[in-house]
Amino acid sequence: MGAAEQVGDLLEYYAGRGIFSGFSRRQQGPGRARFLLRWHRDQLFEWVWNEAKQSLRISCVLPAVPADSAMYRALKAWLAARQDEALPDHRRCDRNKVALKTYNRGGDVALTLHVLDGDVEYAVKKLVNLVNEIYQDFLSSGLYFDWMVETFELEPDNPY
Amino acid sequence: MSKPEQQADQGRESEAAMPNSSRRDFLLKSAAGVGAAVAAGASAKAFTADELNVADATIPSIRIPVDFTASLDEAPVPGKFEGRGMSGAEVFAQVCVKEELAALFCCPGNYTVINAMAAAGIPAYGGRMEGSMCAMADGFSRATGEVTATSGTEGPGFANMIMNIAAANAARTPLLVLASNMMIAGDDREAFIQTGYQQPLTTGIKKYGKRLIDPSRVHEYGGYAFRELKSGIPGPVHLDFPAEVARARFKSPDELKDYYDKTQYRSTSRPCAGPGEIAQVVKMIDKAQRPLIVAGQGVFQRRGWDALVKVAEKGDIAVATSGPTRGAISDDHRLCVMAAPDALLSADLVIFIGQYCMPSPGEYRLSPDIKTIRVHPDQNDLGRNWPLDLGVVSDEALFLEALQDAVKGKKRPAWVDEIAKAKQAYQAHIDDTYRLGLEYSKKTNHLHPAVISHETQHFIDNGTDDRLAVVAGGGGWTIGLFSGRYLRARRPGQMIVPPYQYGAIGPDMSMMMGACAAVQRGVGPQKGYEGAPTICVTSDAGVAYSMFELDTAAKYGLPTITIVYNNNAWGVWTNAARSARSLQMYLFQENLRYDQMARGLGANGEYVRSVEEFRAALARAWKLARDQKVSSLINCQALKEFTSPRDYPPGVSLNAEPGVGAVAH
Repeated sequence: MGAAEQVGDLLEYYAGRGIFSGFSRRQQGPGRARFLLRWHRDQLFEWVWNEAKQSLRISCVLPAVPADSAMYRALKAWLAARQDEALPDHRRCDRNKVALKTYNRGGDVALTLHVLDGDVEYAVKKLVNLVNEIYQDFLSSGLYFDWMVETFELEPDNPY
Repeated sequence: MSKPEQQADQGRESEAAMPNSSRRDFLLKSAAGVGAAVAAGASAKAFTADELNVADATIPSIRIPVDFTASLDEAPVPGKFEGRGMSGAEVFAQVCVKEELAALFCCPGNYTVINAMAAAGIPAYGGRMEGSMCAMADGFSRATGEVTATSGTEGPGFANMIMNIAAANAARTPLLVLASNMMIAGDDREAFIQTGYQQPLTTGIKKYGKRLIDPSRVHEYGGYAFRELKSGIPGPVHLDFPAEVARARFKSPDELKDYYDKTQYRSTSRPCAGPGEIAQVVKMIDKAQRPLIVAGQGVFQRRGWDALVKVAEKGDIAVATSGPTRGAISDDHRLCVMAAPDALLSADLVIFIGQYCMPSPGEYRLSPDIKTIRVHPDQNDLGRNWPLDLGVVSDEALFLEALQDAVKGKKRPAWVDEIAKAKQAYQAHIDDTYRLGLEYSKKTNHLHPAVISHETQHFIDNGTDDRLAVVAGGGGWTIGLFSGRYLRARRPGQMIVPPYQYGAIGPDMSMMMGACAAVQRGVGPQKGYEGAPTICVTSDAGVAYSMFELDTAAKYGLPTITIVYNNNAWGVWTNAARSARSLQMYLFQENLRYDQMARGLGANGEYVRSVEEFRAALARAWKLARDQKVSSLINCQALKEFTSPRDYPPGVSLNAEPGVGAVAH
């Protein structure tokens, strides 16, 4: 089984467990595979596997976060903390296995995991959990409540 | 002593007990408020001089009528077939007595039925608004797990109950909703007033409902009602009584259909997991490194709390509770993760037990990799919303008792250590917020919600005779979200969650009065705490829905302390902050004196702006509640801007679910 197929199967496994409310595979040429999944706050997330770079990239994990904002700085700090050696293994992104990078294009925050040791399953699972924690933990601060309501066009009384 | 003398004597006692509760005092102290309104330029001309002069007149004190006390003291007179025979209402009341209906909360209307129920000996409470009384019945049930009843008159009274029937339905409260319904003979004629078909109005917010038509089936439908209330997943049952049914007369049991005992019209048999299923559960727990039980309302309803703690301790299994009642495991227990949100994300197995209102993945703060077992009494709910690795049909208590024997004794020190660290981190986080709130409070001379919430729990822990005795709960938007983080439950039924699932703003205060009634009588898990006051933390928006029931609390000697976060607005005002001409719809008059209104209703009223004043007011309120059964309302003056992270960071945020502040599932 190729790595692209493995990534797709793993994501489909999560979809089958009700984690995503929608999922599809979109092949995008040799060595690249694209996946669309609907998840937190009803957002459509695009995941791209790049075989040559051995990377998994989410093109927009959070929208409308300006690169010069306090929120973006806080997010980067929060992500760095996910790699802290003090965290237990099951919660840490192991720097020896994956490299975590963020990019900001016009407010869209992209998240990339580079697989360092060929363990694609580890990378997929870590990235799924990382995104989950961004929405469950990072965004749980009151500082971002109004931002969430506006950005995701949520009903304030029922912001899910 | 003659009746007028008795009344006068009671009035003197009342004044001595509550020096601030006379209407005369209330009006005198209102003068300052009126003056302020004039100073503010309000059109107060109509209520200035003439009104103030009223204070010079002799006005009798607020007092409880002698007739009220005498009526409460009367011995029960249940209906009987001999003589005039039993009315349909008396037959139904007899069913309620035999089913040990815990309480009836009502307003007048449906006279034949409520009178029959009171006469039969069912503890009955009459109040000011049907919606509030419905919430009281719900609150009593949330604090005890018992079936309670509520009643109102056919049209308006019943319609007034709707919001709180819906709240009870969302919380799966075993609530018996009763209402009169004119005469069948008057159907479709709009005869006189109050005509309305009730059953369609409760569609979607009840477990079962029936308009009784055939008088001879009144006992049969009483059985129907309690079968639904006491079997399977609880929920409201709505019966409406046309006059032909309530007033029918029966001189012999053979005139009634299905006139047999509850042992024959319902069963207490419960589903139980088979040995194979228990073995599968044990295997999955054994394999897990960080197992978590989410003990839902079913564990409380079925009183499975002792077995829950034993299972958890035997296997070092973390526990969170969910539902409208808290405390099935103490928040202080080393394995309780209610105040350890970060640990939730580490769990690798979740066992939902009696989770009646099921979240979807993403609504609970759990890992996408988590394995799931769900234990539920009804097969047809297994797999709804949340995909399962194993579904087990079982009564909650029976399942826990079986698991208690079967689960392997196992130590999970790393998991226990992680839970402890997560608790410390959360406590540090809310302590930081409290300190920030203190700074804001000092700077503005207005009370921040974190300060009110922290100080309330601190008072329960340090200022009362027994911190386990105090049942607390509350609601509201800003204050509800804050108080959820600070208030703690340390025994079953010590906290109720008024906004649970339905999110109604307003029934909080009434629900807590219902809980208070349960505590006074020591019903169910409240046994041993008889007489203890209850504490409700609510908002100025919410208190408007329930405040008049301070009269009800005073009459029945329900010692409630209501803490009102008064921020002069609906807490959701931020939704209008950047919309033209919209904010005005969210605002109240500023500095309203809910404390003075409370005094006018026979309660103690306190007005506070600083933490020192709040502490002192809580101590006074507690003493009055404990020693004299007098309720208090503490009006905490705040600022609406405390809600906004732009003005006073961090502002409001949703709480982790499951957890101490959870309200959704």
